[in-house]
Amino acid sequence: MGEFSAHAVEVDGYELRVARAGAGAAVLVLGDVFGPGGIGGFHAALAKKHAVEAPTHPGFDATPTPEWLDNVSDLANFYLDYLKARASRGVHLVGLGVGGWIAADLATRDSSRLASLTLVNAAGLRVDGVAQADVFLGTEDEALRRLTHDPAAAERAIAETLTPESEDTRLLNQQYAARLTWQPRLHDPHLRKWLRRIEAPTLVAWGAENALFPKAYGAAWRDLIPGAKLETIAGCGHLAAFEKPAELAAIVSTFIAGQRVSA
Amino acid sequence: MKIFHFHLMPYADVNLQAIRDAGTAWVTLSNKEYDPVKGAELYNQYLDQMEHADSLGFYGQIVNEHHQTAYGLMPIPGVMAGALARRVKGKLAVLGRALPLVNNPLTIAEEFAMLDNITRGRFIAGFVRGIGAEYHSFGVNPAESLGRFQEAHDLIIRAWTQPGPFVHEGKYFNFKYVNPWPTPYQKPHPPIFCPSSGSLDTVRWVAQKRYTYCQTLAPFEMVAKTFDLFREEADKAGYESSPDQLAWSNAIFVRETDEKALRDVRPHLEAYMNEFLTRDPAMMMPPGYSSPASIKRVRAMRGYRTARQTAEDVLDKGIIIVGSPNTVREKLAAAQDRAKFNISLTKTQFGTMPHALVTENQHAIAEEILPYFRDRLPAAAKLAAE
Repeated sequence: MGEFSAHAVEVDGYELRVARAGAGAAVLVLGDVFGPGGIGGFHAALAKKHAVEAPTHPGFDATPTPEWLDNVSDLANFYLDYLKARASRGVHLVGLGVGGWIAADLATRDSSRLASLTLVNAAGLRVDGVAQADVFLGTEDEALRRLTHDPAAAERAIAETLTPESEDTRLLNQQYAARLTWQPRLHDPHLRKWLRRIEAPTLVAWGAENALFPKAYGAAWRDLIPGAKLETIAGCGHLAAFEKPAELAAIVSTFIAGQRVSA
Repeated sequence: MKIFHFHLMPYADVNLQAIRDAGTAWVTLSNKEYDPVKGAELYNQYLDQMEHADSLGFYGQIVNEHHQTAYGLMPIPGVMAGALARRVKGKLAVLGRALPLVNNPLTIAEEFAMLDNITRGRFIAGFVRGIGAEYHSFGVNPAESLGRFQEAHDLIIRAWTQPGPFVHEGKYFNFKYVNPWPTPYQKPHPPIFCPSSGSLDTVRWVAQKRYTYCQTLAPFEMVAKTFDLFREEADKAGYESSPDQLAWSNAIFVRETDEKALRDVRPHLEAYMNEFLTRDPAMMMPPGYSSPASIKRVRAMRGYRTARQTAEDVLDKGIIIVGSPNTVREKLAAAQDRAKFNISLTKTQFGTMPHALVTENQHAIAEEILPYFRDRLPAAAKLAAE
């Protein structure tokens, strides 16, 4: 693989920032709005075998805020337009956390351009009666501890991401995260009704120790999407791409390789 | 100076250790700590205190709104204002209702119009954003706080000033028929006060609207600077603001001597500052409610979250005024001249302070402080008037 390179792609009059690396089947990774974000070991591992694209969600990481950005469905429609603008076919769509919510919403609208869908610790559903950690009530380091399982991973996330230089960007990102997920908290009550419309082969990958979306959530996604299968990652919290990058990349690569679709 | 009597109605009988264990009196302090037998007694004592303050000559009575906290037992301030409306003779103010927290702001237009009618125009309306912790308690999206506040405000003013029925088509609220009965007694509408902790956006907005800005509890130098900022923003808006547009929220405690005052106030003041108030920025500043610049400013105050404040710390910063009659008169006069305000929102009870002590404090303020300030204006304003 090579280094990720930065590109600007115009979609709906908005200049989307996209990082690209690797060659092979097209993989579009939609990131989370919680945790370290950005390009990490998971992306690098995927790019060894695939042509990986990872956009920066509009408004995040100090990118311009589009006027239309109010909720996750806005982003789902926007990324559908991105796929259309690129005339993309046979894309393997991978969504992490809230990125998984965007990906699932997108796929309920139109999965014709997707070769597969992978949802990793996806937000977007609510499973009644399952206690969830609060990602907003507390300090940033407390949030990172709740989002990881291994305390060492939490400390690494804190050291790498809670820097003075990134404080402005983080605070703005948290503002967008609240805008998208505060109420209803981390889900769209209507999404589950339409998950049966997803026609792409679907993998649900879940951290066995996810405190934000406990394991019952992974099972719910599997049960609601026709034909979906669930893989659980042991010793892993919500931030799977950060905490278990190699394991997650291996699971995703294996799944993608199992789909007989040319890019 | 117009000295109002302001009550927070805290759950004064709270187990302080329970707050220390929970780390906060807000959001997550279990309401199993609330005893309704004690609470009933407190509600009635507090209403007595407000009626007493009215009979002693305070300019008006103020209640406010807080939710799911031992800090204040008035989630529905209109209930308290309703209980007072026919009992007090002075002004009556609700400072204020948290507009973004409701899904139908017209209920606030109705509630305030009722109070304005019952008091025959002695009512003052307060509008606030609500504090950060309440976005956790109510589930309202803090990133929509400002937008909801402004739309709710505009709708309420329109409902008060434009004959109905009319249609409201907004981003957050939509109504086919806006036509509240009653309409306000005062025309075009009751005076509007806006409490805030001092964010530039709010100060500017209140100045532009020509409302009265109320600075919540803060070190006095910050109060004075915020009032300077308000006058600048009024200048930019093309008018000279009046001292009647500036209100300082404080507390006053008077005893015979400074020493006695400090000794008697200490446990109640320290409980108020350290246990009842939450100083946890993570709880008070949910994302979107405060700007990143505001959050950074608070984070930069070292020890903000952890350091306990002693009574001396609080007095040194001029957050409240405590002492002998002479000391209190001097400090309040100096504050008025320095910050050029003409409204004081004064608590006589705070933290764990018991009823008997509050009553004594109210008498002392009525006898030793109120007469001295009744016709007093800020020094510069006095000169201008002469």
